[in-house]
Amino acid sequence: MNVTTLDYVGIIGYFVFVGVFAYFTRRTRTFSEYSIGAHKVPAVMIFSSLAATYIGPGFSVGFTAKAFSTGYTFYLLALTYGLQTVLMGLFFAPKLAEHHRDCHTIGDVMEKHYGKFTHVLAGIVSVGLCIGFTAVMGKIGGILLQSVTNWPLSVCIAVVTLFTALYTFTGGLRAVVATEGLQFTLFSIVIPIMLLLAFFKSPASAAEVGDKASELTRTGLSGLTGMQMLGIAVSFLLGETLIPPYANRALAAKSGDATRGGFIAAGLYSVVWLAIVAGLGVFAHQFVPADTAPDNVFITMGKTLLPAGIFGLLLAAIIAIVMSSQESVLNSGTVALVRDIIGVGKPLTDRTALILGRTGTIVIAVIAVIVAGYSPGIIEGLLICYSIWAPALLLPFLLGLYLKRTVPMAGWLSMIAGGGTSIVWQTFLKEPAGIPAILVGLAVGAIAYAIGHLLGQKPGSANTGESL
Amino acid sequence: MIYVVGIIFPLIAIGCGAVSFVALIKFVVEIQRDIRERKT
Repeated sequence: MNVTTLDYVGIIGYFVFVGVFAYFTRRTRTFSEYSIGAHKVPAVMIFSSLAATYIGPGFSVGFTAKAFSTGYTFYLLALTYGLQTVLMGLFFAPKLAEHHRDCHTIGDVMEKHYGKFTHVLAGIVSVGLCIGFTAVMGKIGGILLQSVTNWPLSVCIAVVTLFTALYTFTGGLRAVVATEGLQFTLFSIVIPIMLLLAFFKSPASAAEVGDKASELTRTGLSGLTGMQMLGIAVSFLLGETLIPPYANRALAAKSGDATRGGFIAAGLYSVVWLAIVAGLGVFAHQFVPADTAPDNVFITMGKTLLPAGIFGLLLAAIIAIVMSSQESVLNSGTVALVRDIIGVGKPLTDRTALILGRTGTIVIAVIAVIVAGYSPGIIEGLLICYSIWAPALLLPFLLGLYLKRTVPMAGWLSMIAGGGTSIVWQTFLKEPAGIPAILVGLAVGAIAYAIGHLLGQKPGSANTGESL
Repeated sequence: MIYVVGIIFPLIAIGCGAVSFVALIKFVVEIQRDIRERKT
């Protein structure tokens, strides 16, 4: 990649800024501060932190690549993602913030409603998902850093992941939220400016670009079967619903209102953001050769449209996109490790939990660096994690928030049956008839929940949610 | 529609970025105040 000195200044400037913010937010004295920011995160920071987390490489570079080939097809299907986040903000996240102030993780919430065994199961799924995410983000960040520095890939993955781990290690969730705020600011300004430049510099008229967008979208939609569209829409709707980093932010908010506002704003922002990155892919037809590899369109557009120095900021913004997602899952994975696996058997003192949390950050980061070296298996692993999350956890988790009486067997039976079915359906049966594993897993999980609820209920034994 | 995607949405996103930056500064100042209060 042709990078000028001014571009390097932009990239180094970004790292210096992140370092400064990490320094000012570094001191944590209690595990509550480390894991959920001592419930002191305001609504706007919940919003920017959530947005910075869900805007990963897929929701930026990947979306532009898809739009270059298929116009707004994926944008239309991904609107379900915004819908899901808004619905979580309206109905579920505030309940977490208001009625689970003593909880640090999804596992804690699950124990409250279904007992210790379900707590541990939730912890295992949470930690596995977070390690997988950290590894994938580390690999993508490493590839980006390698394209600028030409260092060996393994070194680049380690540099990106361990730099992220360093400020997560020192400052916990508040440092993560603060640096995500900075990262969100950077890419929320630089990337939309790129689209504005594309709009005003485009050699084609707005009507011609609109026609091209319609043509690409029609082609994209006609290339998908109804079942494929349903599968994609459902994956966007449920694949990431209240995964550990999002649930942590719901628990970290100052109040239920702050959670509600943050989630709703983040959901609405996804509608704007995804249109912007998809728009870049559509406008790219006016600026880059038609045979450009879709994955290179985003960077090529930046190189074409932005002056030296500002292009460096774009590279920094892409690194920020990767790091902001990585730091969230790293922090959540660590907290889940301490609360849901190590700390389930015996209560930990606050100091011990804090030390374990910090140590766990480094341990998970190192595991993720090692795992990242085993790609392409990682992507498959991540897909498995995705397909497990909603079928295994979503149903008992959300029902636990609303049902007055829950029974432990419903929780663990639903998790095992839903998650297990989804893995088998996706990995071994390869999704027969194109029916998405998430849907099958959810259906089986729902049936298992009902069976568990009926079989496991003994008079007076149901959990009323006050046992933790 | 192309005007909404090409002009309005980028301006909204830039506005969100700016608001977020102001909130970030307030947040960091609050954290610093917490740290100072704990020291004293």
